[in-house]
Amino acid sequence: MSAEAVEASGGDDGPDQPPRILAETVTVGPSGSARGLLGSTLASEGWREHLTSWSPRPGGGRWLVDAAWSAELRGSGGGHFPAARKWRAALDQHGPVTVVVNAAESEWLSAKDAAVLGLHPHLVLDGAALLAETVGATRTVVWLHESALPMRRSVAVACRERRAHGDPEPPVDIIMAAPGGYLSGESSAIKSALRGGPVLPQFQATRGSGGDVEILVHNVETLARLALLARSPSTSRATEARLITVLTPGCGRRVVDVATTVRLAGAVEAAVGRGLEPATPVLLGGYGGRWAHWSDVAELPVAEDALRQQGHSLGPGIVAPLWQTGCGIAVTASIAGYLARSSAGQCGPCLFGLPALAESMTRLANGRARKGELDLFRRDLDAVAGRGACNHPDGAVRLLRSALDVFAADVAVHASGDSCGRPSSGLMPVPGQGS
Amino acid sequence: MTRRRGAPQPTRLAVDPIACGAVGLCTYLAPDVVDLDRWGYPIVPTEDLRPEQLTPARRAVRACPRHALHLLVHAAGEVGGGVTVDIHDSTPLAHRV
Repeated sequence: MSAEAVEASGGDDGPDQPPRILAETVTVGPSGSARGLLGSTLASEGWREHLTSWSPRPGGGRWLVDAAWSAELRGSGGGHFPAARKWRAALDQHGPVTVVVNAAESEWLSAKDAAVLGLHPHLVLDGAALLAETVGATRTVVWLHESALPMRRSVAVACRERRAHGDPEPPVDIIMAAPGGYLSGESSAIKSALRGGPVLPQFQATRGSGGDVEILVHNVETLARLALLARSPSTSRATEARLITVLTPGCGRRVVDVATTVRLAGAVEAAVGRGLEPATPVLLGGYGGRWAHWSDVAELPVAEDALRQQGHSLGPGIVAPLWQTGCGIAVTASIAGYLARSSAGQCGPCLFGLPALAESMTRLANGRARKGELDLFRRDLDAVAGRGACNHPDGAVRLLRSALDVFAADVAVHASGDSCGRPSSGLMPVPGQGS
Repeated sequence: MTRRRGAPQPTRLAVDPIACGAVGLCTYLAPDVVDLDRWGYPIVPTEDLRPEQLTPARRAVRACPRHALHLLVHAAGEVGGGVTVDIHDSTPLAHRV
């Protein structure tokens, strides 16, 4: 299906609003088509429009590291890592640096990067150029899924416009090497590929230490925020807004850019124009995220720090309500199956553990749990957690643990061999499930 | 900086899960350090090794035919983040002179 359409429902920015990347709500077709987002109805912002919307960008430099540090610019791909910390490390190591615009969204439900790169390619390229100038990068790469032809076109046209207007930026390489899989946007997989290795996650003995910084991988949104931040570094509130992808009742997605003070309820309302029943289960952060009761999270702000303090996270900015009445165990089982199929298959605990977990969950959903199934399931969760080279298995563990918690009553019913009687299919757009 | 023999630095054992092929020598050589999951892959302590675990851990690291085990030596006070030195002592025993 490719029923992409865009609605411009005019952003009414008050004087107190932080600057936003998207002024309008962007509607993306049913999941999976984000990679083909830019249909004929969707026009990228050209160079002239870009200069009308935003002032010309300043040049990059050390000052930008300090500005990003004080504005607390963080990665928007889900890691939430302070961007300036990576840049300082990159500047300290004195070697050649590559800047990567990561537009290969791994999270299936996410549509924000496709929306931003598609609609405002110049803003993203501004951010990439600013960062390249700041760290003295010798190469800039836009990293796309191999099927992302419309996005490639949008970026290529924007690059050509920039050259035609005499922008002295170094050329940008557009690489579409990323297979459609879940993990080709994982940053260690990108680094491996750019060094001539396979597009697969790599093992880092010192994960999280920021030691590997000659290739700086940044999410599309992070670089667009940087482009806004650089335009008014001292007064900018560029980091006080966040792109949120909301799953719609029809399994499409809407992307909104909201102030981080906006409540989750406000973000859903802004995106789909209606509210949610308090008892609705919502999946926060996408398929590698966590289930929550809407009543527990609706009044929390979308700011990641505030959410994490309460044990929640929007990951790359995703709110996916279970719109129709349905079986949470069944939908979680089908997502777990998808995550198991998406494993790169490199690490034993992920290769064997995720299918085992998905099968347990499926048996539970079908009311066919074996004797001791739940105990084995919990032991398997512990056995898989933290034991992959990348975070993929951890996302699956997070999802499944939260399902045990949020659907506790249903788990008990299902474990006793019954079914909750609620619909079990077509609830969320899980690839490979025909829904 | 010189360091007296017998004053061990905080050391952790790490598995490269991509390199690991579930051969299982590690748990045979260091049963009190390395456990196996039900698929045969090693589970190592997430905290620093106790002094009596160091020798069996080294033995397991050297014996691993897939070079999948690593000893990580932390600078004091830097455990759980910050600068970590990888001493990468994964030369198979048979290749050592």
